[in-house]
Amino acid sequence: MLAARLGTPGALACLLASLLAAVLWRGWHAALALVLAAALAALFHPSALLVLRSRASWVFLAVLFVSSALWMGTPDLRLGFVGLSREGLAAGTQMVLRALTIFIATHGLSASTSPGELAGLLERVGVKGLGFTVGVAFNLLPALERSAQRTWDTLRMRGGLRRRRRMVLRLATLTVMSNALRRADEIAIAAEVRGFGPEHARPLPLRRGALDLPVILVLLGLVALLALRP
Amino acid sequence: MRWTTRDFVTLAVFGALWGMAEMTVGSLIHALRLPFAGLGVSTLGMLAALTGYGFVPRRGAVLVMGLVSALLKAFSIGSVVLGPMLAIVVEALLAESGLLLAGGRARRGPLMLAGALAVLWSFLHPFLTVGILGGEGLVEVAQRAARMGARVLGLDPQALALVLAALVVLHLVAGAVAGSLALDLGRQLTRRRHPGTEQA
Repeated sequence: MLAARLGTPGALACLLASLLAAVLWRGWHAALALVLAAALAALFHPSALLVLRSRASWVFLAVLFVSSALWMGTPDLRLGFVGLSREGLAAGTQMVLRALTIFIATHGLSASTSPGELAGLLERVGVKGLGFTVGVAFNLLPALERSAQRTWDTLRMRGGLRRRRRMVLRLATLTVMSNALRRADEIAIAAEVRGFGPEHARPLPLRRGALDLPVILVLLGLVALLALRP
Repeated sequence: MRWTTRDFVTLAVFGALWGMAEMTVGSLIHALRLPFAGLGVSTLGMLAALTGYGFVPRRGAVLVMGLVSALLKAFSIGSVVLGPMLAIVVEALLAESGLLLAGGRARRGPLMLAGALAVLWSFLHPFLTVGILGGEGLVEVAQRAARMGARVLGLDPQALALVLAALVVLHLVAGAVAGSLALDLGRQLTRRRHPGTEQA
């Protein structure tokens, strides 16, 4: 499997190359950017292509296309009583191609890389402690959601937002934040008694693969060609 | 002074709150295509981030919360993540710049400036993503923003400059209010957790 031989740097290179292609290839060449993103996804992270089955994605693309067709350029076509412009239709299609490229590329990264690995990458470029912070934040999410839900249920049983809305919202925010801070205290104490300190923590391990370097070199060459072409 | 474990945990809490607001409220109001969706989410995000800054008033604290929130957003369920991730990071950078410009103290003025600059980005963001990256053009994006703004604010859609100026002011004011509320929230949280004490 090629996916197993690509590490975090390679996955990030795939994302950046697809994004750069989407930005640098203007006009109908945007289709080539989509081909590149789809090819990289098919080779290294096929589950990214599942984004094409998402109804929300297609609704977003349809809105992009229709708004462009209706409002861009001078209307020179008629569809019933609606005036459309060829220029708007072309621009809308190209925007959809670019948006699809970006969808597939970003889903590729999220399908192939964990937040911890990305945080580890950021730690290596100088954002110290980010790996630990992201780890804590991810583990806190379910607790925060439960706390928010319980707070809301309690307020709802006491009348919800029917009266004194501002005060109710303020109390809800305060309760959620104060529960979160209490939990933060517990985590900080637990980390400190185990001897954890940001100064002597090892950065999160970075997953590397045999194909990282070849993929990065090929994509660098491709991007250089894009940038230098007349 | 070095960052402590407690600092990072506090930033994780407020970054997670910001991320949660982005993943739940943000996804919902964007899906419903409500007007000023970006304004609402950015204001909520800044409320969380600047309250967190009150507890960890260090340079880079808002940026760390922004990165945490952006990473949470990247792995949320939803099809459009790159634009919001970029917006979160830029907002965090603008808030940091505002705090730096105003001296970095967790006081009302610096927090209001930071909030105002950060929330203003939610107005400018479509110019970058749709106008430049999407290739629609800056004029088209400005006209669309003005049409929507004129409809919601009840202004004359022909007065493009006036509507755009009103939108800029609206975003700046919302951000400044978020900064001011963040200070009050921080103080109330401190009083709740440690009765008899006051946040710096």
